[in-house]
Amino acid sequence: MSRDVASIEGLSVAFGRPPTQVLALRSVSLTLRAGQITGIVGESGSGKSTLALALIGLLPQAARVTEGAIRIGNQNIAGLPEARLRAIRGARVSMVFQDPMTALSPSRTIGGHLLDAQHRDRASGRSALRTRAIEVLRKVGVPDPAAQLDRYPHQLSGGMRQRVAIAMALLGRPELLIADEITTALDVTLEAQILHLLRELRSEIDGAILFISHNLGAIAEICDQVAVFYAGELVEEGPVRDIFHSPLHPYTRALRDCDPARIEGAARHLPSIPGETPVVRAPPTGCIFAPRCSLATELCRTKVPVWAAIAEGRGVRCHLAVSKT
Amino acid sequence: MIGYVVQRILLSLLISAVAMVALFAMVRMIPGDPVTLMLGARATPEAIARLNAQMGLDQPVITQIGLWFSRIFSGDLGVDIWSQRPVVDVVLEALPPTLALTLAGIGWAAALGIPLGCYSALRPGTFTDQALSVVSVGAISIPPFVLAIYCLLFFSVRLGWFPVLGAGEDGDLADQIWHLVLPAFAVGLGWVGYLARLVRGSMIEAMGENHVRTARAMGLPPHRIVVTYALRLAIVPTVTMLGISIGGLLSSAVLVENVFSRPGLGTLIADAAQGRNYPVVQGGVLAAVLLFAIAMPISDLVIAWLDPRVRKSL
Ligand SMILES: Nc1ncnc2c1ncn2[C@@H]1O[C@H](COP(=O)(O)OP(=O)(O)OP(=O)(O)O)[C@@H](O)[C@H]1O
Ligand code: SF4
Ligand SMILES: [Mg+2]
Repeated sequence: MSRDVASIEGLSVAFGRPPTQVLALRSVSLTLRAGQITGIVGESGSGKSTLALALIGLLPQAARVTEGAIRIGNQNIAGLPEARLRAIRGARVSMVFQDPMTALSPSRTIGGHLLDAQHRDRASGRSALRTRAIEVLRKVGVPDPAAQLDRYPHQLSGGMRQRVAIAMALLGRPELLIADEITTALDVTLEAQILHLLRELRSEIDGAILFISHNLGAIAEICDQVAVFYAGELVEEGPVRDIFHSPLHPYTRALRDCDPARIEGAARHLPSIPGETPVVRAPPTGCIFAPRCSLATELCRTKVPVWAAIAEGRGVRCHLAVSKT
Repeated sequence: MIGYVVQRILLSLLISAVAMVALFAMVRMIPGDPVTLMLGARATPEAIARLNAQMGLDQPVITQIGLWFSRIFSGDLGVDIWSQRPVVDVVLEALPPTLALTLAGIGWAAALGIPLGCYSALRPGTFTDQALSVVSVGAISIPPFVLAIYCLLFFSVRLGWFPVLGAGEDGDLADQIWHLVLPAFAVGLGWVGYLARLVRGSMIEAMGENHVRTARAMGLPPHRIVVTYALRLAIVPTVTMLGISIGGLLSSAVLVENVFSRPGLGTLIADAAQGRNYPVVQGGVLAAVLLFAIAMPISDLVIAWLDPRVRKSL
């Protein structure tokens, strides 16, 4: 098995204070390995972005890590002071965000952004940084890269901007590249191109990719490993084949059985499962999915299912699934 | 956007034209005969006739207005009654010190207000932020000439750090700058509060923008994030505000000039008004209005420089 790049161990993150707090992540464990694309799927509000921000040390001020560890390599970055976190960002971990229209500064040229992305390599001199910026732009499929450097973000299309954002993330030579719904704002053709690019990068960067998406089709297409989130919990994890061919958790099964055309286009809420994702403000007393689960029993409503590891990189959180295996 | 620029230029022209008519009317609205008022009761009839002719007062009003405009556009603002020099020359001489004072005042306001606003914005709601906001409001409410007097008494007279009066030696730039520091501070301080409040608001908003998050995700040091990614756009409303407030800044400068006995438009207009030297009053006020009228297009240009999205559409 390949090298562990980053791991989350029993991580719980809360926003705000009781009684209005939101328990955005609860006891989540996940390992990201070199050479793999790990997909995270889940409805809006399930904690996907919170997990991503935790990994890059960018949790908002309102967030508290209440338990667990966030490991980048061997280092636990949970609770590190800002200056130490800054050393991680853009160097060991890079992130590309959802909205390419606003992710770049309107008053800074593409070249300026790409120079800033290499701010730790300033010593090598402007022209070397420029050459490298052009090289990486070419790698991510930006046509005529040298000419783009003097342009402003508003002069580029959404797809091009997202490529620039990916180039910026790559320039720091990260061990972990996080892509948080980077294709959600793009049309289908552009999305396919960006997915193809990520797939290429997987073998090229010596590290792991975390791919967050609403789109199961996209996840199925490029991921090696899939983690399914529901209301702040990791409910199932496994190799992409297992998740799609033999899902264990009723939620994963429901997700898979949704009409894929309806999931595409970033469905905020999955139509085939009645009910909505709850906002969790206090520790649950039973299975958090029980109100929407057609298989729920008395046990499900009174006892919290624990994470059951079935094999390396394969696990589920469900009373029923565990009793079956 | 072209339409917008044309609109702004037309507005500037309109302001200027209205001011010209108002200035024309000003002399006519003074009760009594302006020429007699200017020359005094014991002027000879010849002198009165000569001045009447010189000022065109013997013509019908419409002709006078036409004459007034055509003279302004040919750069003739009449003759200074005292020195007999062209008013244009007199005004152009008084303009640089006032401009310098106004700009240096903006400089002080920006140098204090922008960092204070940023400082507050980065820690909103803390004690420092609230203390600064109280101080800001305090600074807004001090009239500039009162502040000028206190500055003068304390820093110049009591401590002797700065020169007391005047604008400094001709041709000695360092000395002139030295004389500028304190009056400019008096002009600028009242605006520090406005700027700090405005910058604070737009900085808080800017720090929440997605592109600032991108900059943070690159691990850029905080000062780079603030200056390069947040402030550059957060400053736009402040530039707009300064463009609109140039009238207020000019009038502070004019008041402060008087306290420090600096040459300039303020001193020029005040002296001329007292001495009923109407051509000079007209010329001085016209210059001030023109400054006011071009300030907005200039602030538009600065904004276009700060925000390339605006530049594109120009
Ligand atoms: N800054 C914040 N302050 C308070 N609550 C927050 C904050 N950020 C996120 N939350 C809450 O934490 C929960 C998880 O949010 P998160 O953004 O991680 O979800 P997500 O899975 O990324 O959703 P989406 O698909 O909409 O991006 C949500 O209930 C959200 O309301
Ligand atoms: S534990 Fe029970 S309620 Fe929860 S998913 Fe499994 S079967 Fe459904
Ligand atoms: Mg999200």
